[in-house]
Amino acid sequence: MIRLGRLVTVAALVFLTQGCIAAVALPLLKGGSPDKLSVDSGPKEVKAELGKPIASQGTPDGGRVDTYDYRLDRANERSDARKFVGTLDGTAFQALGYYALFNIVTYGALDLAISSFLVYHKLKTDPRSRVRIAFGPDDRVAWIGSPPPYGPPDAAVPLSIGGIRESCRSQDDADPSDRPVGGGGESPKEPGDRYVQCVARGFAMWGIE
Amino acid sequence: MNPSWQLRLRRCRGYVLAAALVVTLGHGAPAAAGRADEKVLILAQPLARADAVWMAQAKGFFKEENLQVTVRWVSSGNDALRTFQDGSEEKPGSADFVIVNELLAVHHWQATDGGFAVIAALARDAEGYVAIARSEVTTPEALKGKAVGIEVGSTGAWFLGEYLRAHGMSELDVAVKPVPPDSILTWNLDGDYLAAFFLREPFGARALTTHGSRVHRLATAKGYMSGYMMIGTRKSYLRDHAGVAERLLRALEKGRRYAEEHKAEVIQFAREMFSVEDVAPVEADYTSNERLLGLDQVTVGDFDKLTRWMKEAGLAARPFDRDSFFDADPLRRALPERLAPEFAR
Repeated sequence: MIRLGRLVTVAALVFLTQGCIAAVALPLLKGGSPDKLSVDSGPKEVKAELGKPIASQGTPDGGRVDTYDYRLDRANERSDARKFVGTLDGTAFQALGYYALFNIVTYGALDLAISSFLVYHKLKTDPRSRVRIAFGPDDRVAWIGSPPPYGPPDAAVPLSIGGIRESCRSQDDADPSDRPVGGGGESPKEPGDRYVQCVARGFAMWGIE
Repeated sequence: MNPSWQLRLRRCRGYVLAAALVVTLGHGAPAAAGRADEKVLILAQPLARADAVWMAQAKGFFKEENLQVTVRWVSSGNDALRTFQDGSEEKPGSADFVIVNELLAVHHWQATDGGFAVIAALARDAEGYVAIARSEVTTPEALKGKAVGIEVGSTGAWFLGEYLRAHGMSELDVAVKPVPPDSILTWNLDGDYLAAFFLREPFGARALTTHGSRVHRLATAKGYMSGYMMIGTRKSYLRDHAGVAERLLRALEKGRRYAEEHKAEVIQFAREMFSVEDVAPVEADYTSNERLLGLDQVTVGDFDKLTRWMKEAGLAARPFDRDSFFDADPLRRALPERLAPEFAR
């Protein structure tokens, strides 16, 4: 009687845990995505996402550039799998029932074998990619993919039409030496004219017609 | 004396000596801690104008000043300031110093209500700003009534303003056309109406190569103004980290001198740090770069011109206050010979 009880318990355990190995192992094998990292990420975050680097090269500033070879994160594939489970029909569930039965008979060996194969297959066939990540001397990510290009464009400050008007209003009260020179002959004497000319000049500086 | 008393006395001397040792070490410890490397994060763009920083890093000059400096290279000055602004002293990973051009520095000083200060001009460059004109435009007056391409709100735009002003004109006498600098490379000299571009190298040199004798260099900014690289920080940082800016400036001075004498190493740094393959722009920047690390009278004059131009362009949100914009104290303490009399106390 006790032996039968044990047998039923083992069978129940095998039945209830079938597919668990794959269910637990496969998500743990998720790929990496450099997009989840950013400048200033720490080395632990990088390792958690992409694993260990396959190559490392020092940089003259005391930092280093690491190269990572990683399996691509296929988050879409996992959601596709969930959708697939949702579409299973009666025949499929019957097949799963047979699978459960065989699993009980083999004390879970079938599930172990199939799960191992699935893990192996995933590791072998998942697409891989490489990325270079630079760390500064402070051991934080300096750039991902490629360094900022040499010779960035001349930085510009943004236009403010309100700023032009405000500036011109204040120039009416300012010292005459502050007023613009050239362009348009003599300086207007009336404050209103000065303001109009000042705004016109400001607009001309910004190429506003 | 009783031998047992002698023994006690000896022990007492031992205790006194031990106590003295502890006191000495106790006092010595903070001094040693004061010398510990201070972590400093600088935001800068990959430009040879900052080669003093490059060499200070590569040759260990920051380390010699007990600074652990990291430079985060950013692809534009605006990005640098955005990141700098987002950070604060309390936020881990926030930048401590930022290196940007003169326009952005003044703009940021205004935006922070004077909470930002420039501690030194790292470098300046006048020959790196050029006016490239059609071959038939040979005098400043020939630009009158013609279209001129600039990136509005940039140092190139300021150069145009100073150039016209120096020749008795203003932007009202030409037609300013806002264009990106790389459009000079696709300049249609047969159909296009543009007579000239005012911009920063390497676009001028590349345009001369692309368009040959149909264009020429009308002028450089030499004698009109200079484009600057300014190093600045929050005023609160200077208050809370006494002595760090001085150590930084001393290390940069070593880097400046080293960069001046070791062109090959500067070029090599650019190759290795920024994966530069065509080193011609780096060499050109290296050659035209005036390594300044100071605040001299030319700087004072240029900022007078700049702030007047910014006012005319509607970019002056508040009156320029030299004593607020520049914090010359660290430079006065670290490199007093680099300070113009205008900054005397």
